[in-house]
Amino acid sequence: MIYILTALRPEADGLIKQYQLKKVKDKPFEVFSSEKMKLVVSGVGKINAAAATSYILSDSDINYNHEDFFLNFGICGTLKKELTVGEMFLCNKVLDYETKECFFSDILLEYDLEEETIQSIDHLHQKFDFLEALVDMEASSAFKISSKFLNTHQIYVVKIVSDLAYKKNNEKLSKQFVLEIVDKNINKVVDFIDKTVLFLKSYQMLFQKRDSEFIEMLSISLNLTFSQKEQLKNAYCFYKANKGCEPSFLEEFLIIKPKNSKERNAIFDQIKQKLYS
Amino acid sequence: MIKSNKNYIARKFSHIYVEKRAFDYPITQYILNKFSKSKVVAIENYNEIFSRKNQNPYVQKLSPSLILAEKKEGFFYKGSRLCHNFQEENFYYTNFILNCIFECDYCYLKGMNLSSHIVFFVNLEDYFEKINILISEKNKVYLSISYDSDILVFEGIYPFFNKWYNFAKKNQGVTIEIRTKSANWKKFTNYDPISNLELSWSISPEEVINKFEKKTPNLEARLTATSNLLKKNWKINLALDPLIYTGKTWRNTYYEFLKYLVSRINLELINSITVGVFRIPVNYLRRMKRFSDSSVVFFPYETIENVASYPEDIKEEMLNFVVSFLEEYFDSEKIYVI
Repeated sequence: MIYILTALRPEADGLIKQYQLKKVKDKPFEVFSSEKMKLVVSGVGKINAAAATSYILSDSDINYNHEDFFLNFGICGTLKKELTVGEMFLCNKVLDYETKECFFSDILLEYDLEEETIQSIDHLHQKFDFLEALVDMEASSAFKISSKFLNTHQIYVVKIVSDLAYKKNNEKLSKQFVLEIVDKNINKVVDFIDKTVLFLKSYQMLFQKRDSEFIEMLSISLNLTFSQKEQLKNAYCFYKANKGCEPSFLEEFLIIKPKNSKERNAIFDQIKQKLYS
Repeated sequence: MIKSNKNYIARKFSHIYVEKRAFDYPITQYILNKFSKSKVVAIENYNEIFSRKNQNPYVQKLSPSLILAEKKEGFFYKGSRLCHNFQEENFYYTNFILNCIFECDYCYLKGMNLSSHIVFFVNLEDYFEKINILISEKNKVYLSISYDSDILVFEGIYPFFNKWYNFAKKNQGVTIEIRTKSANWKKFTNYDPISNLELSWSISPEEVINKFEKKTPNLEARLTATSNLLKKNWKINLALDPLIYTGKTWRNTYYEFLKYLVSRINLELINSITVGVFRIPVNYLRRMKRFSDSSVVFFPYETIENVASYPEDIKEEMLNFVVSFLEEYFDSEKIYVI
């Protein structure tokens, strides 16, 4: 599943259209989804972003979400005079301006995107230092909360420069303008998402959800103790790593019902021996 | 685990994270010049990257980043009970590089470190200063400098060996051991061997190398390196450590390997041999199981005093077999068994 967070609806519209997402929730946050993607519109600010991130990621199966990734996408200001409005960046460092906590994506792929650093700040109207190249109001909290669900190579921040924040004129941006700069970059965002999806799909954990479900089923069927179940899981992994396939012979044991613990232990030893041989 | 090897994987060290304090060191400047296409990101402390809790060190191996940091404390440590001390009373190790680019399935680094990114501590002069103090306190120090990494594989990035060689040459109170699996022997022909610098080559049967020591030089390359440096009078140790149980055929695997070893290397010229079976702190093994897809991690080890290793019968049989073989060709007093 691809999880995307934008602060504002105009930041999301290009992706909603591109991926034909359907609105599935209105409150507490607007959520748009398809079979493979969930997009949440959080509202402005770190608290909204944290809450919305937690809201959509709570559906993610934390033990088996190796193919999932989270993207905070949207507009930002630049604090660097060399950068221009409309340019899009993959953020390789996210600084929370208030707490000084830093977050880093593990960027393992070659993307067709320039990279910059970003600072997330509570209020743009306050006086603040220019510590990083870009400035927004959501990325750090979205990153922090998504880190509780996903690994560092599954969390990204991509931002388009919408205003020259170093001028501090805090000019209000029109909806149309945001739609336009997102639209100009949409192909690059899609390319970024596609590449990441393809990569994460190619990465498979040895012990998968279906393996866990099978172990659970067999443990119940054979009335295994907790310790035996753990040992079975280890032996199952050994077999799978060693032979490169699942131990299909174990299915025969699903129909066996041991009469007592002595019989169960004998069957369990037999299974272990087969898995380790 | 990684089924795809598409060319969109970023090159190694595409990102270099540099502690702000580390920027001014000559090593940092040297490396940044060398990797001019890499993205350089300034950080406060290397742990911001290295010690993040939600990392997958196995995926990171596809494209590790480099972290350049300044070491502030802990310039050397007393040797672990799981390492061999060569019967040296003042046995220490130092880790100016963390992690390795080889991919040995059994390597404890994968369980010990939260990250696979490589850390270079760039203030080498501080290491030398602190180690000099240690030498003056202890008179003689045996110092392993390649335990938490295989430092010789990074010679193409920075000539670390040269620094340590010069340090050893000036300080007869220290004996430096560099443990490696690399095949980089030509490098040493630029130097004269010195009595207080030992090179320890880790060697394994080809079957073990192919299955569990990915991205490492093959046995032949390692033995060629060893043999060439013996001819040039370098002090060489061999480490048959860890011995890996490869199933019922292990005896044959190791017999063929040992036979080949004695045919390729004149063992009389070897300084010492260490032999030990695979062993690992159980908490490291537990972490490795979360990500690994290698059977070596899922073997039914026995845990004694928080160290997981082979059951006693397998352990004893393997050690006896290998040591007995070696004793026919090599002075048993110079065989160290762990």
